[in-house]
Amino acid sequence: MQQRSRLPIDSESTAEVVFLLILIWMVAGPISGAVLTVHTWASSLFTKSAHQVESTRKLANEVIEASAKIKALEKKLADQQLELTRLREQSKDTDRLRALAGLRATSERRTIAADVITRNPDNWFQQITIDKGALDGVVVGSAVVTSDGVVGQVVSVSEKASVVRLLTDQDQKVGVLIKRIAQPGVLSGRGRAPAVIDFIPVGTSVDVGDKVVCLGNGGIFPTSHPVGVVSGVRRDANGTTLSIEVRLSENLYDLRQVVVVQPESI
Amino acid sequence: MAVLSERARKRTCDVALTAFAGSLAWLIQLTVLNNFSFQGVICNLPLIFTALWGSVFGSRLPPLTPDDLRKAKVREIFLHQLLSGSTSGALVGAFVGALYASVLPVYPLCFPVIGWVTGYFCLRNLNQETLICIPLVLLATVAAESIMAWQLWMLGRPDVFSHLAQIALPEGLLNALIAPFVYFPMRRYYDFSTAEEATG
Repeated sequence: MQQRSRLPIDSESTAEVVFLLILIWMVAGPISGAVLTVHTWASSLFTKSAHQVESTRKLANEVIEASAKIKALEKKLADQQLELTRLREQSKDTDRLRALAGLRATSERRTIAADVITRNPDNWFQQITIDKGALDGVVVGSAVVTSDGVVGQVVSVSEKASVVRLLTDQDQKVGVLIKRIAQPGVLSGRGRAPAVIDFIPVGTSVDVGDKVVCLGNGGIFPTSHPVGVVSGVRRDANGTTLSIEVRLSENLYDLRQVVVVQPESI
Repeated sequence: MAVLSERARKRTCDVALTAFAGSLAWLIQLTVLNNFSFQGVICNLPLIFTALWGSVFGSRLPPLTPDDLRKAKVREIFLHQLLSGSTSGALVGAFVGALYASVLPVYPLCFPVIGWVTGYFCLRNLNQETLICIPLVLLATVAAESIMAWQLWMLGRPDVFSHLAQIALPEGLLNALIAPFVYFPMRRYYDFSTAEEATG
């Protein structure tokens, strides 16, 4: 009897358990979804907050660094303003002294930036054509330079273009100064070979590596503008004078932009 | 009512086409060939153009026949040969020489002379003319550079002849290499224009 009465009870229990499981599954699914959503939202909120905090911290650091930089630059600017004022005063003093001594006053020379259009298409002349001409204020005789060194001299001008004879041309001469020993000379071009300063007295202590700059006495080329570096010293054929080879500062075979400096007389 | 006669119109077209071809050679030299050098020397397309033009189009004077040679004096033959240069070559040379933006006016003498002189060497009756134009251009280049050197020497430029020795042969070789590529189309144009003249 006991065995008979157990079976229905077990069946009922099993049914109840199954029913409960189904109920739990039906309820737990949506609840777990909601939990997941909440969890994701909370996590992203946390992550975002952390990121915000991190970026704010970085921004604060950058602001502090920028502030320090601004202070340093302000100090530098103030120093340079002082230096500028001092140099202006010195320039005025120089002009005044030059006037007192009866020397020619140094003047501001107009400069014109120009692009190189082309090179002369032959093997005899070392010339380039630039895109600025008489309408832009270029005149025959103007010096042509770059920040690295002297390029040449304007020899022909049309309305919108000019021909520049390069320092490497055999016809081009420039008055130069070997800076270390203050030795003046005349530099002549020699094509692709180094330029040369002839007729330097024997015994002059010129060394390889000495800087050569423009003399600038003629009012054409800017004074003390770099020309090149001494690359060789040898005696001429007679042995009476020295011939100084100079490697030019500017690569005249790869020019793009140049600056035309008007002569002082203009 | 035509303003120009048929012949004048054709002549004008020929001149315009020649000027265009010369200008094109000049532009190619400025924009492309200036960037390529051999031992620091660049080739000279306008010079090649002038030399080959003179050679292809030749002289307008009729060649001497054996009868002429038998009857004429040496002086007359010499004079005839001297005058049988290429007039169109000289004109093309003058045009191309004028395009050079040189400060010293040395090109307007050099190029016409080369254009005229290459008219003496008419290659169109020879076999392998496209290959024979190579030594012709080599010689024409050396001659042109020698004329240039002579003019510059007269103007007092220093170290002219040592510079000539450095540039004449490399430039001649470069020009000679390019010459067949210029000669071939120019020769075809000559054939075309003479055929057109014959039919028209």
